[in-house]
Amino acid sequence: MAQPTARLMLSEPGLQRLSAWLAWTSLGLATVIPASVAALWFLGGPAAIMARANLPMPVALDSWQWLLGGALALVPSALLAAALLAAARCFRLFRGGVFFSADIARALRSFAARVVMSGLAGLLVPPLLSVVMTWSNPPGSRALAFHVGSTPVLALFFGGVLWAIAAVMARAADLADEHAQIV
Amino acid sequence: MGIEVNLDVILARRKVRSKDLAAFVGITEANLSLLKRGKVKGIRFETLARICEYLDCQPGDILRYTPEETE
Repeated sequence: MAQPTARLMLSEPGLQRLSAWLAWTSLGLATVIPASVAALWFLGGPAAIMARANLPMPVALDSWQWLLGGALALVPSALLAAALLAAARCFRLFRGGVFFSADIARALRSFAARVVMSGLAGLLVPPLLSVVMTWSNPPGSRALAFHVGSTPVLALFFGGVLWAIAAVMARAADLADEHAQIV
Repeated sequence: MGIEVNLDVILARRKVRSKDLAAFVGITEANLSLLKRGKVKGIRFETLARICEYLDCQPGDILRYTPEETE
């Protein structure tokens, strides 16, 4: 195809089948992960999440703390879900035989950016959560807890790597587009 | 770009249909049409050779360089 707007379509049945499966898995995880965190917080109570994150336990808890804490606890997983939606878009394009296009590069870049944001949220949310959840504690037992785990740090690194790969993909898409205009 | 494609002129002179040329060269009629209008970024030597073979001509009969006017 030589139309400048045409996409380079390739037939890779194995990869397309795998991509279809990964697209559905990404969508499933994008639903299950935030839903699990919300269920854990609002049904199981914040204690489980606070303990898992090594955060100080609240002595007294007002409803606004419970709601705000729940919203804060959801931020990293919501960003991760948004990243998974971008990944699903990428895999849907692969499934359709589109491997080199500006859309792929955009989706991959979006995935990378959201993974980085999720990693940043993973670093920033625990201190905020500790402040919110111990706000009603008696003076002297309020806490500001910092917790740096390997997961958010790895997410930041992983996001950076993906961002670089997305930049290479964008260049590859340009080349593929140019190649498609040579008869 | 400065390169003119005179393929339609040669086709008319030789009384050759685009469809037949496209089939011989092994490209789609849509791509041949884009080539005739100079709407492509490049042409492979292989494509050029097949066109020349079918039309019994030289690359210079199909492509011509005209310097672009500068303001």
